[in-house]
Amino acid sequence: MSTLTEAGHQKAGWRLVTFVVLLVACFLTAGMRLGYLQIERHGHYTELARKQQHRTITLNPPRGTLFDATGRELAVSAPADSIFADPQAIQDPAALAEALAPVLGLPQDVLRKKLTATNQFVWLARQVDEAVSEAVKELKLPGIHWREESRRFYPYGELGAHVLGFVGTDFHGLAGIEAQYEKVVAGHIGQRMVLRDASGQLAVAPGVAAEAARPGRDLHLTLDGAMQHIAERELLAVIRKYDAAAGSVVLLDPTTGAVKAMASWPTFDPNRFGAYPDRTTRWRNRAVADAFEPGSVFKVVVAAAALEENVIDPSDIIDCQMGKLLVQGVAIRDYKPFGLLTFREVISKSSNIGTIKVKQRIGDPRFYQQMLAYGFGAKTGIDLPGESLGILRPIEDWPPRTGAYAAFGQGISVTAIQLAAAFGAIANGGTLMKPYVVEAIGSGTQRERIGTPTAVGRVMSKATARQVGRLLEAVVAEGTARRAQVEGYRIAGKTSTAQKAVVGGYSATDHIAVFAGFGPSRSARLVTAVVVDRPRGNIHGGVVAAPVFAAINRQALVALGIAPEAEITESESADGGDDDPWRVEAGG
Amino acid sequence: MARPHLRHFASVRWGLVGSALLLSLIGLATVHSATTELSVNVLPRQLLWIGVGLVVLLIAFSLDYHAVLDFSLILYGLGIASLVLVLFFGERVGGARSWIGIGSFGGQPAEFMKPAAALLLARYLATVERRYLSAIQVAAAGIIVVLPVLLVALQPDYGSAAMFLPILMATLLIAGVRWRTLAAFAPVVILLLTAVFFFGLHDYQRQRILTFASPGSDQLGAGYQVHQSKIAVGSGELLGRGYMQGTQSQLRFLPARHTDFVFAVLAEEWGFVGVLAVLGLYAFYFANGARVAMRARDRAGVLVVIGLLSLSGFHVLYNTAMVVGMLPITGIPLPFLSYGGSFTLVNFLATGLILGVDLRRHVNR
Repeated sequence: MSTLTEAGHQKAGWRLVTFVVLLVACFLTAGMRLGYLQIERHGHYTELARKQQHRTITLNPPRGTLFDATGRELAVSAPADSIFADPQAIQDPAALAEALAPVLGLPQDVLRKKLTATNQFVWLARQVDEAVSEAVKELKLPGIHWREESRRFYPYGELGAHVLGFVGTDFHGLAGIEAQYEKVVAGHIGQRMVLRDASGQLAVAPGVAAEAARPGRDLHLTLDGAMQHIAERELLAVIRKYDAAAGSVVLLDPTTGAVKAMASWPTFDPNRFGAYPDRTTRWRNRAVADAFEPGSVFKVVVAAAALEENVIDPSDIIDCQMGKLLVQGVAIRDYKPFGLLTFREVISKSSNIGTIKVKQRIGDPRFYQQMLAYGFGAKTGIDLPGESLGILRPIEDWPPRTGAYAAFGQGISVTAIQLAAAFGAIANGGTLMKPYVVEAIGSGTQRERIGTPTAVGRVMSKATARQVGRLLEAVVAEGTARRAQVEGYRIAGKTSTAQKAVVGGYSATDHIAVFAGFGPSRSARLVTAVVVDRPRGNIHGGVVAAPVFAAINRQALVALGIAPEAEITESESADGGDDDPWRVEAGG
Repeated sequence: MARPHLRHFASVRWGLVGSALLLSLIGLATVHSATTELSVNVLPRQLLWIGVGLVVLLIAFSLDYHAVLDFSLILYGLGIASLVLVLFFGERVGGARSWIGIGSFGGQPAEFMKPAAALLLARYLATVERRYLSAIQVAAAGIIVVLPVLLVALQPDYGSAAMFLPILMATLLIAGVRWRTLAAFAPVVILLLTAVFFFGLHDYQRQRILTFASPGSDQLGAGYQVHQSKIAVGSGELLGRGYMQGTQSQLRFLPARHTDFVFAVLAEEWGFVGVLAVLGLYAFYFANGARVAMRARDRAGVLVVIGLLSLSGFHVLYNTAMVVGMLPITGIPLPFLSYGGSFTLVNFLATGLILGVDLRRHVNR
């Protein structure tokens, strides 16, 4: 072995220095690169890390229970599993789809498409029945997981469907009370941050912030399940009988405005709200959403204003001109010719001409003011979504003869709930009450009353209300609404046989049969509005709608525990000698 | 023939031993953090390798390096033979037929080939009396290295094969080579590399190199590893996420966490401060090694030290550069830190040999 020469050694020294310098330079480069990544760009990379490692899971709390006025559970939440897949962990999507299709009841190709998705999470079926969930778990398939969610269940099916509404698969109330009170009944959706590892497994990380879910609060409705059932049954019966297109029934407590029942047809089962091809038609709560021309029931507006202004007495004689009246050159007719009628008969026989003549005594402005007082043309403010205003043009915009037509309910539109509330004002002595559906929030000690009776305003004096009430009693006792009579109870009400407004005029074939009334008429506990849209065979409110009222009230008044009154004839009532300022006179 | 006596321990380069041991301990801790998710505990095994490594270090230290150099041709021959053997009987590890052994005992011949080649190079170039190497001598030195490179490339493990080249370059530089001599060989090298890229590489390997050229292009495929590694390093920030708190490694986003990407785990959990400390330890190790080279008694000593230092030095540089996305991903472990038997032993062996050169700087033969 040789050693280096002296010169060689020195040379080697320089080379060593070069070697060291190169090494140092390389180290410095690596260090600078590290510094760049870790100091300068740390925000960028920390964000990238967070994005791929953190997943937010929403924790859906159970929704509050919806109770009816007697404590029946109308809507409840029950745990239900939702099935999801991790397509990245699935080797053979075709075989898996084949195995799952019969269990989940889904087409194979739909499942296969889901299972071949490029992400790591795809829902296969949400909130399935326990049997389905057990069957899926039994299969023990790779990449198939489940998560316990909460499912909304409506034990009574269609009962009160339009009032209750329904809840979508993502836990949001989509209609009815479920939507209106979403914030209260849904509870607080919690969030939990979980860590996700490279294979897509989720793990709860200690110390990672979680926002707890708070269960939703119960709601206690004013609705009475039994009455709701009666209303729905009778509505369905009349619709079947007259092959009607649609219909609605509203039952209110006239003293408070509490909705006791609200039925709408066509209807749906909120447990499977999506299962109808014509679902948007079925979902509509016609009692609040549909405005229609009310027809003769609107005559109570004229009556209230005229009696309040003292321009007429129920016994005053009006010449109904044998069925023809010219208003500004246009003939207005009655459905049959009348001669001389008392005002009471004008209402009970429903003469358009007689009503117009009375309206002329008070004038359009006073008439218009009375419409507003009844609450027409404005939302009632009921706690349900989708309420319609109806149509009531401001008086300044009235074309000629608007007042005359409106006297018998044409050219303006109202909703069933408006009509029920307006008749409620007549029934309770002149005060318009705001209708409401939810009585209280929360249960037990947490119970908090929110549905307090709210007076919107005074529609007429107490005396006038009583007079209008007597007029309406006559309608039922001897006029067009005799089929609304309920044995043992005195009933007040008014019918409509309204032509259906179509573009450019009125339909020759389509009508709306309406009845609005209340009973017992002198201490009313229930006001009922019945609207039957497009009945066939018979179109008259007195024939189609009035019997629905009778059928409902025959059961509902008993259910309310109201003792039948003694058989009171009209003359007995007249001789009663009570402190009535206005007495119903016998005859007609 | 000199034997180490007790008095010699006073002149042992403790800095070299100390930094090697410290790096090994940091390696153990980091490997532990990176393997909590694994079902088998790899820690006892790595501890065993370090223990064996220390014995190897002592043996290498006690041997006169001249004697070792005399023996180097045989070592080289054994290395070549085992590289040929592994091609036929080796087990596949990550796509390359690189591992040979019985049961769980065995190793990677390529790792042992590296110091053997370095020693033979040193032996050959130490005999050269001239100030500058002739082209033939450079070519001869080249052949010593190219032979194992080709055998390792056949496994195929191009990363490991490439690690032989810095040994050649460094020893040639120190032994005395003219730039023009090197320049003459450049076309041959370039031609060789081009041929390898187009005909010698698997698609995935070519993809890795292309991915390196534009890293963002394929973050879920070939770019996945470097992407995840950069996220780990970058999210470490200045002070790190804390020991065992590195989410990139704990959630298994990082590939090869306890082996090739152990540095990324370190960077994520200890931050910039941590990696600077570790790089500082490496620098301390290499500075001590360079000092040994400068004070070496003879040309053979210088070349032995330089060959071994360039071997581990380039591993450190390549590994860190790869982890931060500056060089293509290939299976290059980090000396003392990465989990693995063969390479750990090689590093302790190299340290022992360097210490031996230092110890014998005063000894006349």
